[in-house]
Amino acid sequence: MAEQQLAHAIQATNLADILERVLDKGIVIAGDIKISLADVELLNIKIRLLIASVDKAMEMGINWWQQDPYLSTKAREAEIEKENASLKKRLERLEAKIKAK
Amino acid sequence: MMSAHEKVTGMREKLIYVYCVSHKEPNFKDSDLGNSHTKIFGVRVYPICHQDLYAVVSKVSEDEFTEENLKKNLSDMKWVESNVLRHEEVIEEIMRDCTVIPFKFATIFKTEENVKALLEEHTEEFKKSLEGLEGKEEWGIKVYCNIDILKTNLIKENEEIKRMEQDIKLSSAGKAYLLMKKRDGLIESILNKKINEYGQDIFEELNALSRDTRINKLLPKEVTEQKDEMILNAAFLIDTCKIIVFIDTAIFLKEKYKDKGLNLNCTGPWPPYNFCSINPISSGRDSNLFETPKGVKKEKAI
Repeated sequence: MAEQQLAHAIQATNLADILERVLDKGIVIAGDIKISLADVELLNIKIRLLIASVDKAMEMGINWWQQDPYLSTKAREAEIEKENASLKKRLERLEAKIKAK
Repeated sequence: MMSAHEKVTGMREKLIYVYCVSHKEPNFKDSDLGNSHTKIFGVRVYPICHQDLYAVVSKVSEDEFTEENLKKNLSDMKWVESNVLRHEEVIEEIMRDCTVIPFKFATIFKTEENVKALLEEHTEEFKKSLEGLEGKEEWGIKVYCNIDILKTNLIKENEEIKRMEQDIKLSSAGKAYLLMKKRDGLIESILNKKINEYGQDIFEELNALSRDTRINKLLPKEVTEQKDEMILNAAFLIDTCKIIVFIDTAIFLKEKYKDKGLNLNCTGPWPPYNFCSINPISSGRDSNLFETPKGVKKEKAI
C-alpha cells in the first residue's frame, strides 16, 4: 500500500532521475572504447547541465538562494546594473538618432 | 549461444555492451528479455559467465558505439534518452531476481574474451561487492523547497520579523527603507537556517533506517524540471526487510513538511548505482553534511 503511494523508479521518475544515475553513477570500468561523458562540447544542453553544472550547484551547496534575485542583495544590485547598462545603451541610440536628424 | 546470436544480430553488431554483473545466471524466462523489449529497444541480452560471475551484455553496432560514433551520438538527445532508458530497463529486469552491480552507461568491449578478462581481473572485488549488496535496495530521496511558502510561514511565525514589520510601519520613509533591508537580511538568514534544519531532520530520520547513505549533488531546475529548488539529493541503501518502514517514514516526513513548503520525492528500488565500487571508497558516514556541503565527497563523472 505504502509502495503505491511512492511509485517505482522507472514509472515515477523523470528522465533526469535516470540520467543522473546511469550517466554519473554506477561502476566505472575502462572498457575497450573510450567514452567521455564529460566532453561538454558534444552534449546536449540537458546532459551538459546535468554533468557540468552539478559542480556549480555543489559549490553553491544548499546556499542556492543567494542566487535568488528576490533574496540576495548582491543579485539585486547586479540586476540593477544590468538594467542601467541597457538603459544607457538605449539612451545612446536615441541620442544618435536625434543627432542624425 | 554465441553463433545463434550472431546470426540474428548481423555483421555490424560486433561490440559488446555490459550492463551489469551478477552473482547468478539471470532468469530469462518468457523467451528472453530481448524479445519483450524488441519494439522499444530491439535488444537481445545474454550472460557471459566466468568465475561464477555473470556479465549481462548485449551486442551493439559499431555504427553506434565506436569511439567516434559514440561521440556523435552523445550529442543526439533522442539517442541518449533511448539508450539510457534501455540501460536502466535491462538492469531493472535482471534485478528482479538477482543482486547486480550496475555499470555506468556505455561500457563497451570488443570481444567476449575481454569481458571474461574483466571478470577475472576483478573477481574478488565483484564478489565482495555483490555480497555486500545482497538483500538490500537503493532508494532515492529528493527534497524540493517552495521558497515562497516557506518565507510566508516564517514571516507569520517569527517574532523578531513581526516586530520589525511593526517598526517599519511606524517609521519615516528613510528609516523604513533601512529597516526593510535589515528585515530582508534577517529573513534570508532564517530561511537558510530552516532549510538546513529541515533537510538535516529528513536526512537523519532516513539515515537511521539505512545501511549506507550517499549525499549527491543538488541538481539545478533546468535539469529537474521542477518549479521548486532542490535542497536535498540523497541515496539510501536499505535492508529489504526495512523497506516498508523506510517508505512509511518517507511518507510521514512528506506530510510533516508539506505545509512548510517542502516536497519530498521518493523513488526506488534502483539498481545500486550509488553503492557499488571496485575501488573501495571510504565509507565515512558524515551525518553532518548540511553544515558543510563542501565536504561532500565528489564523484567525478568518468
